[in-house]
Amino acid sequence: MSILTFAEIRLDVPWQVVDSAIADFYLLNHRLRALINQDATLQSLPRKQCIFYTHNIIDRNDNELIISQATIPSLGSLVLLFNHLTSTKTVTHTSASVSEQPKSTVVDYHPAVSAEDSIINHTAINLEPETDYFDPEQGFVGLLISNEKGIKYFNLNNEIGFDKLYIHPEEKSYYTNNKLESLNTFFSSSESLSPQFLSEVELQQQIAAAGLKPQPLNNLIWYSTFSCSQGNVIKGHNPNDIVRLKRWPPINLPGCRKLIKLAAYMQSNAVDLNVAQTKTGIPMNQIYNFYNACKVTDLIEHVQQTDTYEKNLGDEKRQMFAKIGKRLNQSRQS
Amino acid sequence: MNKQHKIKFVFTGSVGAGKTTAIQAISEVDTISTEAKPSEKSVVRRKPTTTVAMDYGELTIDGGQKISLYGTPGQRRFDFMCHILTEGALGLIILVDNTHDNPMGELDYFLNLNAAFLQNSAAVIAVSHFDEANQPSIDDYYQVLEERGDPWPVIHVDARNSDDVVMLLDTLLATLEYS
Repeated sequence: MSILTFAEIRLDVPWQVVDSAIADFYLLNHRLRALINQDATLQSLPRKQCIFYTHNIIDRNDNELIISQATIPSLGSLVLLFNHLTSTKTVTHTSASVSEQPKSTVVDYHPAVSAEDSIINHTAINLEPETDYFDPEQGFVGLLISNEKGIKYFNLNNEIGFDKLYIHPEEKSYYTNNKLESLNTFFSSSESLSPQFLSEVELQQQIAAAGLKPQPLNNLIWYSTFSCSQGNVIKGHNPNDIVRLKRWPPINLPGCRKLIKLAAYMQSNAVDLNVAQTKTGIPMNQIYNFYNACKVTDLIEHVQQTDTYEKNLGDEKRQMFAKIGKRLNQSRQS
Repeated sequence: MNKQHKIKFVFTGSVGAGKTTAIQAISEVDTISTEAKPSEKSVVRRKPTTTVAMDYGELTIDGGQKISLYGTPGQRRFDFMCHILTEGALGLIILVDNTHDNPMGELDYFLNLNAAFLQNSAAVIAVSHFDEANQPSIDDYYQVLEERGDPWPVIHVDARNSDDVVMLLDTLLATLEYS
């Protein structure tokens, strides 16, 4: 319910969770699938209007809508799913308002169902919106990854005053006094994206005067892509692409620290991004930001087949790791 | 004490890489250190004192259990301490001083020294003093690891910064959990 409330602002039509026999969609425990041909009530439910929830998303049939119970929900995926359902079911949706008929129902065969479910679509339909992509060839990232040679600098007119960001593509370095996170506004600004060029000698003079040290250009590319992606997947990505990390990304960069377990998972498993989301519980928009940054810095390997490494830790060890993680989190916040 | 419930992380690596400093940065108790004048020539010119037995710090998790943080001595003649301290440990943090004459050789050395332990456990490579020397680069470290077939993450850190040390442990934990 609460996740639905959060999602409401981005839904094409209002949805309502109700407890009634007649509704547009039905939420069912996956175990009921086995009984669906035996139970008269279940048999009467149109299969295309059933959404199953399960702890094991591997246990699924084709053309089914599945909600994984294993992790925290992804709001973006929830919105995509609900809007997709609305667009494919043309019953009463065109001029709906909150006060109108409900669009879905919960058949409460399993009252323990959590609202904190992530949504995974296993139908053949592509739920990705066709327009909201991140295009790395545009904007600041586009300038960084272009083949244009020569040393350049950008003027930074940020809150700390006038400053410069130097890029040395041949040395694969950048120079600035600013922390990466303070450049976020600059990355997304279209006004400041006009680089000036300078010679090697001029660069050496200027960085010596400012006391600047070289930093890995790949870190700037990684972070600016991460920052500019805005939760949209990179242009050309297919949701069914099976990918893995070739090596660890620069996890000490701001923003990436929260995604360490995603990096660990994607480094050991070749999966599509939906599975990575289910396994790690990280919101899809953050996964997209992370994936785009890794993709642009050539850290992603595409493979033909899913290759997963399930680590069987056991409950005791898992609980211990959770406690250690909690303690480390406290250290970080203190 | 039930050995099964001992939670232990070990910091190892070259002299002056920041093992003692890293443990001091996050330990919630006063750390126990065994510092003495170094005897190896290569160490004498780097530090006036160095760890000779071990460093020890602690963190407490829910339920009162302790996480023990051990630091190994950096001098080669105390290598045997590494094997003693890693026994039963969850994972290893290998600190490499990037200003060292041969940081890649140091990385190789400590991976070899702990090869048996790492067959069933995990490591994180922490590159320190990166602000003083940015070569070799992080890519160079990954290249060495790839040649060895080791999958460990490489992170440049400031061992004085508790956030950085926590990030190392977070990464080690994620590696143990998912990799």
